[in-house]
Amino acid sequence: MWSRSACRLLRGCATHSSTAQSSVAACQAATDSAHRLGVTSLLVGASVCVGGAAWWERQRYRQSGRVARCDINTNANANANNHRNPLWRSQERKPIEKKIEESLILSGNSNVPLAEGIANHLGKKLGSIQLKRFADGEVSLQIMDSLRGKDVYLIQPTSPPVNEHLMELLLMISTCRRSSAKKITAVIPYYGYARQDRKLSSRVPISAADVARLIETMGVDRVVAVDLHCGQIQGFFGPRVPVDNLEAQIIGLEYFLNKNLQKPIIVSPDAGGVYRARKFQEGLISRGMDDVGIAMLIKQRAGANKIDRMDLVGSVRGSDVIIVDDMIDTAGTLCEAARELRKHGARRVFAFATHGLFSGPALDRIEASPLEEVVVTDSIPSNDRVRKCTRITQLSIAVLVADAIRRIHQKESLHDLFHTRA
Amino acid sequence: MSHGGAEQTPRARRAEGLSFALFAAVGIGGAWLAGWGVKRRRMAHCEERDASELPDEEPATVGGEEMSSDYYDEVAEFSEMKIFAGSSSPELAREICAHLGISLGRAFCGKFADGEIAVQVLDEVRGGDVYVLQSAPHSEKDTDSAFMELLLMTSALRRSSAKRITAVIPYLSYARQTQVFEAHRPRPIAAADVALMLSTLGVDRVILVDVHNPRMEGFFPTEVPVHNIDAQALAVQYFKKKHLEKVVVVATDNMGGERTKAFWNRLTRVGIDAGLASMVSNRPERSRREGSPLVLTPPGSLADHTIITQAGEKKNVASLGRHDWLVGDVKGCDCIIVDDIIDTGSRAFKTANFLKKAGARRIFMYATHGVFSKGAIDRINKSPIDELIVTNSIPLPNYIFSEKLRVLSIGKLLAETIRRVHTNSSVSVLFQDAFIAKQHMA
Repeated sequence: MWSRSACRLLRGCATHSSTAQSSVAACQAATDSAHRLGVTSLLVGASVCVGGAAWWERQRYRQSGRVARCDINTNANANANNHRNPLWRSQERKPIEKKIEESLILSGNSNVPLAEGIANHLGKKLGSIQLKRFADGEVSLQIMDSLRGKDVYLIQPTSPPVNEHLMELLLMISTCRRSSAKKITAVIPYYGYARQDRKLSSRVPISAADVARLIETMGVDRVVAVDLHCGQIQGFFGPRVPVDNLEAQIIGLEYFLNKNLQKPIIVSPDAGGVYRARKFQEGLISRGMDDVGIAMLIKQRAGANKIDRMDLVGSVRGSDVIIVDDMIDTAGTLCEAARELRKHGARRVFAFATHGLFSGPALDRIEASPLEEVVVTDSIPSNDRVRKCTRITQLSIAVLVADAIRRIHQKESLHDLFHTRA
Repeated sequence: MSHGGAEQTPRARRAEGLSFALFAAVGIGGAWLAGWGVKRRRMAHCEERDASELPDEEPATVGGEEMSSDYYDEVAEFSEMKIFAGSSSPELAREICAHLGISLGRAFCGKFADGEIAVQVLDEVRGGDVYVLQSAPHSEKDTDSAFMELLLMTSALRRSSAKRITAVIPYLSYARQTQVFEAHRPRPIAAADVALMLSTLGVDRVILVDVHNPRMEGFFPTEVPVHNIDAQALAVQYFKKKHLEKVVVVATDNMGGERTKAFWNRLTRVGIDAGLASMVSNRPERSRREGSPLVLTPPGSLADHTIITQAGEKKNVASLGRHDWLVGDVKGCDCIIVDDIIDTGSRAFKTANFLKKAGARRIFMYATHGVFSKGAIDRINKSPIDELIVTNSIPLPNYIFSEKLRVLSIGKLLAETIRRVHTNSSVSVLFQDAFIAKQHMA
């Protein structure tokens, strides 16, 4: 009975391993000797075969590269780790595998560096386009590449000056549609007019919806946006235009992981943004940072002609604080929040926001505030004044947008990109 | 129409409040004094009238103050109608309202700190017949913002249940981009896109003034009727009073023939015996407009064309390079250059120089829309043009100054059109010369 089971084991081993021929030969010899010599030699043969099987297993794992082990060289190790990140293909600038010749990436005037970054991550060049102004201020546009039958990706955040950039985007879409592009995807990392998303008083427009209707009417097939001010904007587009709302937190999380934070606490600057702060906290925890807390500020109008009051819910004493918001406009609320947190004993105050508009007195306010560092993304291009401000750090979302384009182009799921959990 | 940042610092607000209080105090004092004077004068006037004409009637009293019936105006006729104006041309809007005898609707058009437009309509519009007047601002002053303002204003009115919205657009930007010249290097048909945007956001009808290309009406869907107001008749009346000699109407280029011929027809109809001349050029049409993205002519593409020059000799077009010619004799004549838009003024400058060289006596120019981009007014001042006639479809900025400039008002014409659209009577009658002549006589 022992010998029979040993034989079965050995036979299985022999059929599976084609490469380890020497061990198979040894096993064959072992079976023969087992038949001939009996139990004592069987024990020897079994031990040899077990050793062979383990060696063979290791070989297989090494080939597939799935398991990181100490005996595999360090380069392979690094690769294996990277590929856990959903963005690995874009980070390594892999070209689009399928139908690369059928896509065309065009950029408007609003953020050319970002568009170049995106194209670079996809291993492509930007399409050629001439976008200028006539003498009377009208948009003058001409696309120099052929568009027929191509999937076109138009990269144009509608950042300030909003109306000019919006008009450029609208005319670009209609031009592509009229020249027989197969599919038009508008990539709008910053969606202007997003904050006018409901009627705050009577007889006002719902500008976010109006802009959506304009973009849709011009003939867009798909919209990719980053951190829309409110998710309902996806519904302002009709059902024929799917909207992908990417989250830039995935970029911010990586940055703050290397910041050496002590007792980090994520703060939402108002009651409406708690879900955003919660998501950020979850992201930090799942990336191995334990002991991350959450707090929020509640802004109250104390009365006419009185300075607004801010109340802190939660404790921030002696900890590093990150204020998480979607955009920074005039930075009034943000700087006030930073001062309030500092008053409550916060150690360092950081801020993370996807869109840094920095309009009006924003930069002066930030310079005068106790904010340690303000981290924004390049969804809105920075001007010289912003670049001079040492407290502002700009991260690039090119890799995120590039990966979204890659997935859309190859008809893959975008689900991984929304996981803030690693 | 008040403009300014939606956000203000508290200190600025306080300062503003303080100054406002001061002004208010001064204002109230002044108003009291002025009111006292007016009251006295008015009472005196009433007494006079009472004594001479209306001895038996009791004067009407409003709020305890005596009022003559002269001051009362019947408003019922247009009470259903509201006119709102965007920020680009408030003066024209007020003029139209004055002609109609109604007050301008109250609306706020401002900008947020990041440049987004904030619009709020302050008057009630439910069930009303609403007119929105918005033109393009003068050159390089944020054309797109002005257009966006019109769109958002329309949407705000539509969302607050206005019955019918008419966009009154004296100068529609992007109306010149109506063609794709090279299919393999596409350019937008922006005029069509703009029409589509307007109809998407709920415009029910559109009133335009001398739109660049009359085919523009076809870009709007059938449920959005377009009235294209012809303002040439105004200029014709103006020239009729000028006592010109040997009039010749001149087109500035190949594309302007249609418009010039219409003007010539009008002149003939009012009894001016006019001739017709034209500038002809061999340059490709797409390069007509300055700032066009690309001027590409494949070499030899014009080689087959042969023309006959003024001297009567045959010449190959390609051998001449890019050139313009004047076709027609203008020696000793009063010339009227006719165009629809004067933008950079370079074509007008060139045409006027040609005419002067050919021996023209006086040179007038008429263009409906004075866009006046950078350097335009300097060119006009330097050119041999004696008089330039434009309309107030685009408000003229303060820095534009020229002795040669005459501005005709389209306010009355627009007011009459709005009145006719409101009362559902014929609009086409308006553009007949007889009608306009009658208006001028009155």
